[in-house]
Amino acid sequence: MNGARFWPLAAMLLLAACGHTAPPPAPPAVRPAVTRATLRLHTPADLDAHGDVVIPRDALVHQGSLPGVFVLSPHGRARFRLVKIGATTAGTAQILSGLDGNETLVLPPFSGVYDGTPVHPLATTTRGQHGSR
Amino acid sequence: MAAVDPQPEGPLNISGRLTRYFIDSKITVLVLVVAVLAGLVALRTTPRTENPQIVVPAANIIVAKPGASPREVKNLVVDPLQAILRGMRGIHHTYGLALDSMGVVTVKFQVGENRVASLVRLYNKIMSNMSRMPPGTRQPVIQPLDVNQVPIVTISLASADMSGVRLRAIATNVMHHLRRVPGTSRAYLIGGQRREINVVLHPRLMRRYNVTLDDIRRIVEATNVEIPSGHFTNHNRRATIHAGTMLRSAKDVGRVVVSLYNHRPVYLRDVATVTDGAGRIKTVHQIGFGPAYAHTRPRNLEAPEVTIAIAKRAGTNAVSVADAVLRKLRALQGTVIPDTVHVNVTRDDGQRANSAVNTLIEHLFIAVATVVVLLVVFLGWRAAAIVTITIPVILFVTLAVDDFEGQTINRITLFALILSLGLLVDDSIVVIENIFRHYAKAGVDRVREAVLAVNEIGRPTNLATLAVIVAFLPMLSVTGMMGPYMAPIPKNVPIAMITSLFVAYTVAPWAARRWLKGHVGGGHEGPGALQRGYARIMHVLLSRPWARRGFLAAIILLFAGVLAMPVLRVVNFKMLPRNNNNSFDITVRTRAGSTLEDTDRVIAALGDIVRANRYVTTYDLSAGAMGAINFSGLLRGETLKRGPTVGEVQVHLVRKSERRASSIAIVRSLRPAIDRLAARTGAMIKIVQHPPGPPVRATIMAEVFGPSYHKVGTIANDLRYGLFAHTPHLAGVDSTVPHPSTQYIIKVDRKEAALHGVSAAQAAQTLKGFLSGISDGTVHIPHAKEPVPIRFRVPIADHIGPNDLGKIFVTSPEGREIPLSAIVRVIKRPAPAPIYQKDGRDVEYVTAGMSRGSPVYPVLHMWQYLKHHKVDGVHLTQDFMKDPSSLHYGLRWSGEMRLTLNVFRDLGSAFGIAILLIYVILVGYYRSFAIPIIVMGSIPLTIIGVFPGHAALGQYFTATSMIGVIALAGVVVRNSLLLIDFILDYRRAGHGLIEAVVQAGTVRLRPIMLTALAIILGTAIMVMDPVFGGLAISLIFGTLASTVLTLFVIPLGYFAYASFSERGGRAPRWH
Repeated sequence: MNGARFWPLAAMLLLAACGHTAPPPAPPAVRPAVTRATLRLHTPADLDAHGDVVIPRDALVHQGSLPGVFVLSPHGRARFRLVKIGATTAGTAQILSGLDGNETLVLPPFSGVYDGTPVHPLATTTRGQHGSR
Repeated sequence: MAAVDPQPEGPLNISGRLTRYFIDSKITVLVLVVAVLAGLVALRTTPRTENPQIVVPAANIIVAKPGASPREVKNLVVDPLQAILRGMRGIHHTYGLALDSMGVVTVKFQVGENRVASLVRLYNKIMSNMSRMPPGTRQPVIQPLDVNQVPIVTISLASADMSGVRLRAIATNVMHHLRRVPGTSRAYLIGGQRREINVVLHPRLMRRYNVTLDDIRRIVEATNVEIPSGHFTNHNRRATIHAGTMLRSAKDVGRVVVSLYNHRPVYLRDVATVTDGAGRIKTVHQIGFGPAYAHTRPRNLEAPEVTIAIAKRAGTNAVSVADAVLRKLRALQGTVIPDTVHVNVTRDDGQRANSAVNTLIEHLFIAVATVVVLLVVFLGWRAAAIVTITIPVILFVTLAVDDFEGQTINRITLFALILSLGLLVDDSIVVIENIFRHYAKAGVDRVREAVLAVNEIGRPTNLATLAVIVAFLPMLSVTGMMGPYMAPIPKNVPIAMITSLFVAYTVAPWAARRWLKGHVGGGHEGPGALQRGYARIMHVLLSRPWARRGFLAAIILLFAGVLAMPVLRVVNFKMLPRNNNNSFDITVRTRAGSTLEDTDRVIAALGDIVRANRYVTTYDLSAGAMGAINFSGLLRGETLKRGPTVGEVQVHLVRKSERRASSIAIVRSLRPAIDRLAARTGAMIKIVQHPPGPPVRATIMAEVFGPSYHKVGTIANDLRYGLFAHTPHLAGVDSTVPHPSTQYIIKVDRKEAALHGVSAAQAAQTLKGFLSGISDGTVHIPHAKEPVPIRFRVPIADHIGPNDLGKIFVTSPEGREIPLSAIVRVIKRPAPAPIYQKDGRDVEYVTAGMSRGSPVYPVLHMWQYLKHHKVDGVHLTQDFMKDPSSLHYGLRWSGEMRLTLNVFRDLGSAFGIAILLIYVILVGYYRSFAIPIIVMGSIPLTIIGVFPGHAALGQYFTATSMIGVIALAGVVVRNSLLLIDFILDYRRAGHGLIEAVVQAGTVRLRPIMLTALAIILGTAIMVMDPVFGGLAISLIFGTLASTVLTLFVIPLGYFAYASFSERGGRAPRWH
């Protein structure tokens, strides 16, 4: 008879025993900082006749199938920015949408650069550089 | 032992007869075993859901009428369609939306209407009225909105390196495997890129070789055929023949000869670049990883993802289906899914339901344990053990009945069980106590005495149980979505109560006969200090009129003070408080005319805000479309939202058991940053937290009606930027009045077109081909699991402005190439605004969410303001329930406010009916009209505890609090009923009035306190629940106040009544 009143307690203990413990969060991904050349865009110097931003073509990257550029964030990180590409020439690409013209782009090589990688600007060039490429 | 014939003094009542049959029967053991087994089976097999499933049949009817303006669509399509539909039975509301070239009517049926029957009727109605649709309208598309379409599992496959096409192909493959899991229904993919054969035409080369888009389309279409053309029979063999040349790859498409130029074939690849790959990007879906993410992180902060969304079939168990799907998924990892793809389960409703149910089962155990400890203290080991046996039996029977009825086990079911726990031990306690009293006499026939003991208390116990049942039953009549949501309470509590009564008459005496010892002179028989104190106070009150009057005045004063609490806003009302969830959504609408890239930037900025919170595991970013739909999104009409200005972030948090902050607090901490982002970008950003109960379109919603739609829009905008923007605690104020945006109209000049021999349709068709691309046919790739269309388009750079029309040509019948710029004119004008309708009337909505607090008070504030002030020179008539007049400008408050009013109205009337029913039963029992009123005097006393309880704990008085108040009516009547019963018994035994009143109170003090404590301790575990805390607070504080006061007020009330009637109805003379 006395066993009867213990069963809820026993079941409670059982439940408590198989209770869940939180899996520890994974450590932040290793994103070693890289040093890359950057390009500071300026309006209206980097605009074409239509008023669209023109950037060096090799600053374009693809993440999955998404076309974009790496923009240097205020925190010094390369952040992927989706862009819509218009006319391209051998050296330049017209950006129809996605850039305002006041960003700082991270320039290649892009090995080791991921969305969120800290970037030390090597040398910041401004306009006119990409025309001669 | 076989013949049980107690030979009582009078005939036994039904309780006594039940006991006589079961007290020594083998069947009792069988009943016990069967009940436990059935309960365990039910616990395992009953489908589990987090909340009760609410069936709201609804459908979108989408009708396209190309070229029609919103006004035309409204007049020709949306209006007549709504008129047709409103004639149907069971329709609750129709919502119309007239857009450019398209009309959408959303039909919402009454809650609880049969889904299949409603949809069949809907199809019939529309199909039989097709002839009434104006010419030029396309076949309507009917899109049922169904809870079972909402995915229960979403799986995200993400990779930053893999192309969107490849990722989608993998996801398609995975989906095909997962679809085979039994119990799954709809499965679909979100994100990635579809494989397409892109034919990028070069206008310059086309001109050189003299080919037009029309030619190319015609030729490709004619080439891409393969038809079964019969069969050959020879050599006694029969073989089927397929004739034609099917295009099977991009290379095939490139090799199509589109023209002859200088007697040499011109291949498609000569005038176009043909590639096999992703089409134009219209949506972006990415997954981000927060600080609490527990698996290997990719090196990217955010990576493109494809989400596999899987819904379950109606009536299956979400827990087992989700488990099976995820088991299958694990098997696919490494084989079908390459290791480089990050796999994350972003939604698992099975797990969610299971953990919600398991947590509450845990709580139920704790509640049972607390009650058991209480019983041991009050009744001693043996009696407590007997009552304890009955608890699981009753709970198991209730669960088994639920399973049998085809209901689910959900949070509400379990809350109902926890709620009934305090009530259901009562019957057994009363029976055991009385048997104990009988056994106290030495040398009794144990069977006979047990039966007599049950027989003695049978009638009042039946009555008390019945009172509880009738208190709950009227709650079944709650209308709207709240009805089915709360239904488990009025369904389960009565089942548990009836079972408890049956068990108390059968199992309890059976166990008592075997194990209950009648030890004479047990510890708790003599009056304790409490009883002595009570008797002393009662004597004072009964003998001194001034004390009595003072006591009465104090109670009245207290009552008045408590009633003033809601008025003084010490206690605030709200329908349901927010729940602590494991995920929430942020929806984004960027300014009209924004590009996908703009929206993606806002979304990415939101991702940065969200990622800073330490409890975030993953988040899904969507731009250009919404993410995987959920139930509240479905009812808010989010399935219709797409386009470059639309975006959503779905944030997933670590499980609530593993974090300190509630999702409500997390949202509150994110809100300032999000508001700053909204202000900076001009985007409309709303945080959507999953409501614990029925979802609404918006927390606060003003529907503005009026004779002129233009004026209605102005008023709506004024309300939005004026009154709403300046009302405190509102967040995400929005309206359906769009921002002005521009539209280009390319008008075909009829004269010019005629002169060139080109029809306007031809010119328009060509233009469409160039601007948006034309999909024409599919290539036949044997292994592709999704169709691969051939899409013709011109390079994006060539159609960026209205000035580039000179590069596009149409061919005249004479074969001349005519530049489009020669026959069209480009006009820039503001885009026409969409027209919204509700129940056939034009309406604009102004909506808002709440950053904190209840929507009731801001709405009342705004209501007051609009009562005294004009908007745009118009005095708005305001309504809550009924439709405003169609002749004036009017406003109806809808959203959660409306739901709150409905729910409190319904619960209020349920309460009224409950009280009436209890009164009727009591009149039947006492055969008196006055005594039931004294008995029911304890009901208003509960309020003295309920409101201060809410105020003390800083909780809102919610719909669940109201349920608590209704439950209290049943509970407290039981106490005063037994009190009055004893007084009447003592008086029948010949005691004086004062003596009887004091004696009854002293004797009933213990059992009444035991009952009250059982309820208080049983429900205490619920206090912490954000949603059902209100119910617990009502029960605990209401019971506390009512019990303490009942012990004095009811005897005094009876005393006053009795001394009044004994003097023959003359006014009492106090001495």
